[in-house]
Amino acid sequence: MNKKNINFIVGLVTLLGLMSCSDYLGQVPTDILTLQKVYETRDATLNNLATVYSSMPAEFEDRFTATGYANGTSGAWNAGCDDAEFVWDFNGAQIINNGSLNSETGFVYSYWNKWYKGVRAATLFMDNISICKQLHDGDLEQWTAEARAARAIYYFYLLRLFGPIPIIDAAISEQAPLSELNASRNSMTDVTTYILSELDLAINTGLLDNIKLDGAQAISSDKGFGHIDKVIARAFKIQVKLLAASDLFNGSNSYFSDLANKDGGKLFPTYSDAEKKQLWADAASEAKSFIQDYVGNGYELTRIYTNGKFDAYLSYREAVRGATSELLNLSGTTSAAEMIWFNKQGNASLMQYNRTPKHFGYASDVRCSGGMAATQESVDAYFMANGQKPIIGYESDGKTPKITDNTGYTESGFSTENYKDPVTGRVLAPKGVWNAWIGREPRFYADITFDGQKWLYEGSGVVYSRFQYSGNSGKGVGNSNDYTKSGYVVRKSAPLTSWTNNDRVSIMIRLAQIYLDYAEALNESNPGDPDILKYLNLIRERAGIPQYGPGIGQIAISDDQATIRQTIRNERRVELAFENCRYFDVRRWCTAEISTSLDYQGKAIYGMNIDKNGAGFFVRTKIEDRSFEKKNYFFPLPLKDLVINQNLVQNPGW
Amino acid sequence: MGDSVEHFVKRITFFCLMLCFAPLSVIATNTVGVNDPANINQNTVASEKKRITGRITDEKGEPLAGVSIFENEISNGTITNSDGLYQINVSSGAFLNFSFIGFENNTARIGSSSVYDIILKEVVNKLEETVVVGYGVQRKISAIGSQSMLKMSDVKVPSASLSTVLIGRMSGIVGVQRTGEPGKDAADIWIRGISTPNGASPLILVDGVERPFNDIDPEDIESVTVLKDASATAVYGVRGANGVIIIKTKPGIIGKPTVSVDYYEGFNRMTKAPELADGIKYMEAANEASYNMGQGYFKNYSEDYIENTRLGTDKLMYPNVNWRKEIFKDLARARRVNANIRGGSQMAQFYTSVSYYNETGMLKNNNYESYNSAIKYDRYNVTTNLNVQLTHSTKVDIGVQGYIAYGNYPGLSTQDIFSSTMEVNPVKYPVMFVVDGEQYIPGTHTQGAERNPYADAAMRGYRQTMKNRIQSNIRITQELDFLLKGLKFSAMYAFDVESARERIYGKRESTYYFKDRNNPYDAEGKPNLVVTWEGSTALNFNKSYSGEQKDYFESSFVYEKLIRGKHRFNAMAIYTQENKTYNEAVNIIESIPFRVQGIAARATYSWNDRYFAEFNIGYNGAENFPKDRRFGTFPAAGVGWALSNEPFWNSLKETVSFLRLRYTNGKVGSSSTGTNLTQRRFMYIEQYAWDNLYGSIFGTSYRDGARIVNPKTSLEWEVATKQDLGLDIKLFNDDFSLTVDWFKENRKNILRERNESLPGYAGFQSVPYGNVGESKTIGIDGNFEYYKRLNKDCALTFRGNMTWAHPEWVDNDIPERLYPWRNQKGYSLTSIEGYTALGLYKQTDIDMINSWIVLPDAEKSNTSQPFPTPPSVSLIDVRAGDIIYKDMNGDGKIDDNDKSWLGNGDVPEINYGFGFNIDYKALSVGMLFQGTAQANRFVGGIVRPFNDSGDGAVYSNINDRWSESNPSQDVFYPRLAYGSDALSNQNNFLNSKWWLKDMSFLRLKTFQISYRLPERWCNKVSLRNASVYMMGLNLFTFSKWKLWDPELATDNGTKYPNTTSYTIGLNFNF
Repeated sequence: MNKKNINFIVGLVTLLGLMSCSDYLGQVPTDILTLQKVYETRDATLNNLATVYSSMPAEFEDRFTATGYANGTSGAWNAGCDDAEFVWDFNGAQIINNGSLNSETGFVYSYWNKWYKGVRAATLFMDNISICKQLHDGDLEQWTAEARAARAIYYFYLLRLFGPIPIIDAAISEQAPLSELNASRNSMTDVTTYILSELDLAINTGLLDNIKLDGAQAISSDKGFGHIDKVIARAFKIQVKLLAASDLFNGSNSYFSDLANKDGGKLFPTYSDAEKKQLWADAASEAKSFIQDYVGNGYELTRIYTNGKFDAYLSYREAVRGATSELLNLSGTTSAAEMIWFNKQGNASLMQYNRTPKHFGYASDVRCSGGMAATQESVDAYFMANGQKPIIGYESDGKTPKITDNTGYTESGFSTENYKDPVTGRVLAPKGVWNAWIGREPRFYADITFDGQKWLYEGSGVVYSRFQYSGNSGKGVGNSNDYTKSGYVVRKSAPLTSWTNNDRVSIMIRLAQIYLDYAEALNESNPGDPDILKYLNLIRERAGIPQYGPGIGQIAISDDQATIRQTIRNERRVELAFENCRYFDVRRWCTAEISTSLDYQGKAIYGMNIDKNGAGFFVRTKIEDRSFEKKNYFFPLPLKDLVINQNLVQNPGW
Repeated sequence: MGDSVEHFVKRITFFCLMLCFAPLSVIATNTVGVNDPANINQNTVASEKKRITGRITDEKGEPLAGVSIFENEISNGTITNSDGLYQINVSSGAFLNFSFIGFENNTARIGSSSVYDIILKEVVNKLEETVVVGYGVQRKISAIGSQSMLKMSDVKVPSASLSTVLIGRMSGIVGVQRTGEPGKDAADIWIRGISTPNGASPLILVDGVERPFNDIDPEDIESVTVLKDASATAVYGVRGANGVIIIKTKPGIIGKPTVSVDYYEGFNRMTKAPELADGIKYMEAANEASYNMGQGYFKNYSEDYIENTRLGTDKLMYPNVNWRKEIFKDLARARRVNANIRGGSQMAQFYTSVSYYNETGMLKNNNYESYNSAIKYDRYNVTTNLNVQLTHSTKVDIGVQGYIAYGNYPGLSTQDIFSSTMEVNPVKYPVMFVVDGEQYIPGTHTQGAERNPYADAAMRGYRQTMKNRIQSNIRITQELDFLLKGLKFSAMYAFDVESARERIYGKRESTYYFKDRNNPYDAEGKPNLVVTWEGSTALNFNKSYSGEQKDYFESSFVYEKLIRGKHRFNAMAIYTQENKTYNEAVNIIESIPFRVQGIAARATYSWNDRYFAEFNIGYNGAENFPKDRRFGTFPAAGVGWALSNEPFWNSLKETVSFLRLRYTNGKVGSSSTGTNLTQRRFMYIEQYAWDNLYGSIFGTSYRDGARIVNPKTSLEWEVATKQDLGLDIKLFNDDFSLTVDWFKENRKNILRERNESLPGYAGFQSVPYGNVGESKTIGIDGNFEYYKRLNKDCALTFRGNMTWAHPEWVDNDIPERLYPWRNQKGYSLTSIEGYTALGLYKQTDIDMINSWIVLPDAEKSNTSQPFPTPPSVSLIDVRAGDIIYKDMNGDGKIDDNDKSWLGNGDVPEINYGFGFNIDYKALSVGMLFQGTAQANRFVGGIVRPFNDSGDGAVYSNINDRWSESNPSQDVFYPRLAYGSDALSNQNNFLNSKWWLKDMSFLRLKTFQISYRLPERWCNKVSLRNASVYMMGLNLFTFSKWKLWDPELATDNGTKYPNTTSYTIGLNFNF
C-alpha cells in the first residue's frame, strides 16, 4: 500500500466527515411564524389580544369543570354550593361537595394555571404590541389598557378562589432558572391595591368609554363587544373592593389570621373596625359612582310591559337570558339593558342541555337531560308572590322546614286550577301541581322547573315536565343517567327554542348585582342610609313583589343592621341564583360554616323523592351529604407548585 | 462566507457522487475478465485437461445443488446441478475447491481417478460462522457486541405480523401483542425494556434501511438480529439508543432455480373471550348492589321481572341477551400462500416471491344490510432480491419489496363495539324488534347512549382500508484491492414509498323502545314502539390518508487484513443520511422532512482468535438541536477473551469446547421526543401557531389566538451509557451452547417536557423541553440451545431464552414530595400510583367505628380513631365489605399522600420462551412456550361493577363477591353498591392494590408437527421434496388473570382478543 493510496483513502473519509457538517439538517425555513410575525399586521395583533382574553371563564361549560371552550376555566360554582346539583359524577362540583378536594385535584391546578396563563399572555401582549407597525391611532393605548385590565381581572378571579396570590409582574422566561421562579404570595392588601391601581391605570390610559353607546361600532371586532371598556373595569373595581371589605378577606376570619409567608409576613390584614368600615365605604362609593355614571347611559334594569302592564315574570326571565342577537337592543326589554360583563364563547347548548328536562318520548328539540338539579334549599329561598319569605330555616334534622306563618305557603295538596300572575294574568303554573309551588313570586317560575310545569318551548308540541320516577323526565325512564337528582331542574336561562340554539351569552356581572353590591356595602358602612332600601327595592320591584318599607302595600322591616344584612342576602340569593355568585358569597360572608345559617354549606341537600311515583314523590328526601370545613373557604394552592417553589405557603387546612 | 461554504459543500457532494459511480467505471473496464463459470467447460476444452465428474452431498446424503467448484487459482469453475452432479475439465494435479454457503469448504487434489464424490460438512457452531453487526457482518467469534439472532428457517408461525413472531424467541426482546384484530395485530416491541419516556421503540432496519417490518411475509425473511449493547449500536448513533433490530430478506443463492411453495389454511378463535354474567345473575347482583345502599333504595328488578326473564316467554319485554354471542362468531379463517423461486449462477443470484395472506375476523354481519361489514384482511406481497457479480471485484445487490393490503371492518372500531357489549346489561333491551319484516333497533337512552351492541357491530356501516408500500434498494460493492488489499467500498441508495387510506361509510340508525311498558303490544300483538333517539339509515362518508416517502443513502469503506495468520484487523467507516416525509402532515413543522445524518466508524482487532478488541464511534447530527450542539459523538469500546482458545485450555476442551468473556461499554444518543409525526421538533427555533383554543370573540367574530408552540430552547443529546458483560459457553462438543449477558444502562439528559418542574403560576402556554431526566436499567438476558443427534434417525433440540430488564427513574424531574413513597424515583417508568388496600372491613370493625363515632367530642379527641377516614367518604359511610386503605403517613385520613407507586405497569419485566424440536425420520415435532412475568395493571371499567350509571354489564365471576352471606376477605369484588354516586363505590373503586392485577402468563405459543413426504411419492409428481404440517398458535394460556387474555392492552377487556389458531399446511419444492 503506497502513500498515495493512503492519502486517497484518508482524503475520502475526511470528505465524508466534512459533508456531514453541511446544512443537511438545517432545513427549517426562516419564514415560519415567529414572534415578529404574529404581530406583523393589525389583524394579527388583534388575534394576540384574543389570546389575552382566552382564559376568561365560559360558564356555560360548567358541566365539564375547568375545561371547555377557549382556554377552559368554566366553574364548578353553581353545583359546588347549595344552589344546584349535577347528576353526573364526573362533574367537578362533586369533588368540592363530598370533601375530597385537595391540592392535587386536577381542576385546582387548571384554574390556577389557566388564569396565570391569561396573566402572562396579557403581560407579553403589553410587552410586544409595539412590534406592530400597522396599528391605527389609539389602538396601542386601547389594546394595551385592555390587556392590563384583563390581567387585573385574572388576578381578581385568582384572589377570590385561592386567597392572596403571588403577583407575577413581568413575564417569566421559559428558560428562567429555578432560582427565578421563587415567587412568594403577596398579601391581601398588596393584591387588592395592585388590582385596583391596574384597573385605574387601564381606565385612565385608553379603555373605551362605553361600548354600548357606540352604536354600530359595538359589533366591530376592534372596538366592540368582547373588549373591556371603562364600565366593565369599574364594575370589577366594585367586585374587588367588596371582596376586600368582606369578612373572609378583611382579616375577620381568625382561621386565616396566622397565614404568613416563610419570612413571617402575614397575608391577611389586621384592621380595626373603623378601617373595616372604611373598606365597606370605599366599596359603596365605588358602586354609587358607577350607578350615577351609567344608569340611564345604556344601563338599566330590564323591564317588559305586556298589554301595558309591567310584566315582572317576563322582565326577569329576559334579563337573565342573554341573547347575542339582542346585544344591540338597548330599549331596555332585553338582557342587553343590564348586562355588564358577559362571555360569548361558551357553548350554550351545553348549558341548555343541563337545564332542559329529559322529556322522554318527545321531540329532540326539547329532549335533554335536566342534569342540573335545583336543590330544595334553593327552591325554598324564593319568596311568595306577597313578598314574604316562606321558609326561614330548617329543624336540626336539616330537612324539616321552618315555615313562616301566614305567608300562604303550604306543602299539602295540589292546585285545582292554573296559577296566574296576579297582574298580567299569565299562567305561571298549570293546575294540578303541588301547592308548595303555587303562589310563589315570578322569579320562582322563571328559575325553577318542577313536576307538572309546562315546558317553555312549544314548537314541537306542548310538554309538561314530569319528574316522578316513571314520569317523562323521571329517573325510571329512558334508562339513562340524564335526570334531575332533586326533582327540580334549573330553568333560569333555559331556551325558549330548541336547546341546540346557540344564540346566548353567559352573564358574569349584570346591573342587578351592582345594586345588591351597593346595598350590602352601604349597610355595612352607613346603616340606615336610605339608598340601602332604595336599591334593594328596585330589585324587588322589578321582580314583581312588594317592597320593604313603611308604606301601603310595602312590607314593614326593622332597620336593625343585622336584619337588613340578612334581608339583602336573602334577596341576593334569589336574584342571582344559578349565576355563579352564591359559591363565593357564602364564603365572602364567612357564613358557609355556620350551621344555623341559611348559608350553611356543610348540610345535606334535599329534593323530592325521585325514586317514587305519586304521593311518595312529594317527600323531602336527602340527595347528598355535603361537607364544609373552614379550609374550604379557599381552594388549596396546587401541590405541584408548592413542591417546585418552597417559598409558596399553603392555605391553612390543606 | 456562506456562499463559499455552500460551494464547498456542493463540491464535496459531487465528489461523493463520483465515488458512488466509481465502481461502475470499474465494471466497464473489467467486463472482459468476466466469464460465466457454468460455460467455461464448454468453451475451453483443452486436450491436456481431464474430465472430472462427481456428486456432492451433505452428511445425510442429500445432494447439494449449486455448490461452486473451482480449479485452484484459475478462473475455471462450475456448479452442481439439482442432483448434486457436476462435471469439469481440469489439469491433472490441480486442486479442486468445493464451496457452498453454510458448509465447510473442501478441497480435492486431482489424482488418477475421474470421479470425485464429495461430502460437504455443514458449518455448525464453527469459528468461521458470521453474525450480523451494525452495517455488516463479522466473524461470530470476534463479534463482542451483545446480539442475538433468529434464523427464520427455524420458524414457522401462522401470523401476518412478524413482531409477534419474535416474542419468546429472542433474548433481549420485551414484547406484548396488544390485540388480535386482523391487520392491526402487530406487537409492541422493546429491547431490554423501556428506559425513556420518549418513544423507547428500537430502530428497525430491513435490508439496512429503517422500515416497518410487520407487513413483510415471514417466509421472505432470512434472519432477524437484535443488537443490544452500545458496542453493537454505537455506529447507529442517534438512532441506536433503544437497540436495533436488523432484518434481512432472503438473498439469491447459487444453484438451479428451485420453486418453493408454502400454503396453509387455518381457523382462529379467541384465546379468551370475555364472559359476561347472564341476565338472572346480573339482576340478582344488581338487586344486591342497590339493597346494600340501605333503606330508601329500590331493588332494581322485582321478583316478577326476574321470574319472567327466567321463563323467557316474552323476550322483547324480558330480554336476556348474551351480547357477545350475538355479535361474535366462534371461528374465523386465516390462510396464506407463498411461492418463491430462488437460484442463480456464480454471476447472478436471485430470490423472488409472491404471497397472499387472508384473514377474517370474528364479528357477525347483518344480512339485512346491503353491505358487508365483516372483518376481512387481504395482503399481497412481492419480494425480489437480485445479486449480481458484475466483475470479480464488483457486486450489485438490488432489492424490491412491496405489498398491497386491503381491510374491511365495521363502521365502528372493534374497541367501541366491545365497549358497547359491556355498557349494556343483558336485560336492558332485546337484540332487535322485527315488525312486519322491518328491523327496529332497540334503545332506551334519550341521547343515544348505551348503544345497542349488535347495531354497533353490524349496522353502523363499514370501513375500507388500503395500504401499499414499495421499498427498493440498490447496493454497489467494489473491492479496492488495487488500492489496498482487503479494502472494499460500498454504497447504497434506498427509496421507499407508502400510501394508505381509510374510507369510512358510517351511519347510525334511530332507536326504538316500547312507548309504554304497561301497554306493550297492540291488538295484533305487535310491539307499540316509540322513537327514543333519532338517527338516519343513510350512510355518510369520511376519509383519511396517510403514508410516507423516504430516501436513504449510505457509503462506506471496509478494510480487512490478516497478518501472519494471527493479527486480524477490521475497519469500517460509513456515511449515512436519511430523509423522510409524511403524507398526513398538516402544518409547516410536520411537513419538513425528518432527517438524520451521521458518520460512523468501527475498528476491530483480534489476536489468534484469543484476544479481541473493538472500538466503535458514531458522529451524528439531529434536527432538534441548535447548530453548535447538533452533532454528538458516541464512542463505544469492547474487549473479549476466548479462554478456550488458550493453549492451557486444551485439557478442558473435551467438556468445555468454547468459552469466551466479553465486556463492552459505550454511549448512544437519542434526539427525538417521540415516535409520532406531531412530536415537538426544532426546539432551537421559536415557533408560534394560530390556535382556536386560545381565541376569543370580539364583536361578532371569533378570532383564533396566537400561541407559542415551542419556546426557543437549547437542548443537548439524550445519552445512554450502556455496559454489557457477556459470557458465551459451549459444552459437550458444541452440543450445548449458552449465552448470558448482564447489562446496565444509565440514561441521562432525558428529553422531557418540563411539565412537572415548572410552576403553573409561570403561565407558560407551551412548556419547554429540557434535558432533565435520568433513568437506570439493569438486567440479564440469555439463551441456550442443546442439540443432540441421538442416531441417524433422531435428533433433539432444546432452546430457551429469557430477558429480565428493570428500568427505573433516577430523576424524573418531579421535585421531592413530602413523603418518600410519593416519589417515583426508584420505580419503573411505567409504574402507577395508587392506594394500598389492606383488606375489607369486617362487621366487628364497623361496630368499633360506630361506637367511636357516638363518643362525645371531648372523649373522641382522647381516643384514637379506630380506622383512618377513607378518601371521598366519611368514616360513618363505610360498611362491612368495603376496602380498608393503608394510612401511609399516619395522619388519620386517607388522601393523595397515602398513594405510593405500585407495580411496574403492563410492560413485563421478564420475558421468556422455551421449547423443543424432535426430528424422527421424516417426522418433526416442535413446541414453544412463551411467558411474561412482572406485568400488572389496574383493572377498571365493568370490572368495578355498577359504576357510572350502574347499568353496565358485569363479568361472569360476579358471584365471587363479598356479601352478608359470604363475608369473606378472599373475594374478587368488595361489597357491591349501585351507581357511581354510591359512597361505597366511591370508596371501593379507587385505584388501589385491590384492583392491581397480575397480568403475567405462560402460554403454549406454538405446537407444530410436520411430516416430510417420502421421496418416492414426490418423485412421481416431480417434486423435489414436500412436507405437510399442522400448527397450533396460542393453544393454552396459564395465567392468574382469568377475565380476558392478559396480554391485551386493556384495563376492562374491550380489546379484540388475541387468537388461537389451528392450521394445516403444505410445503413443497420443485
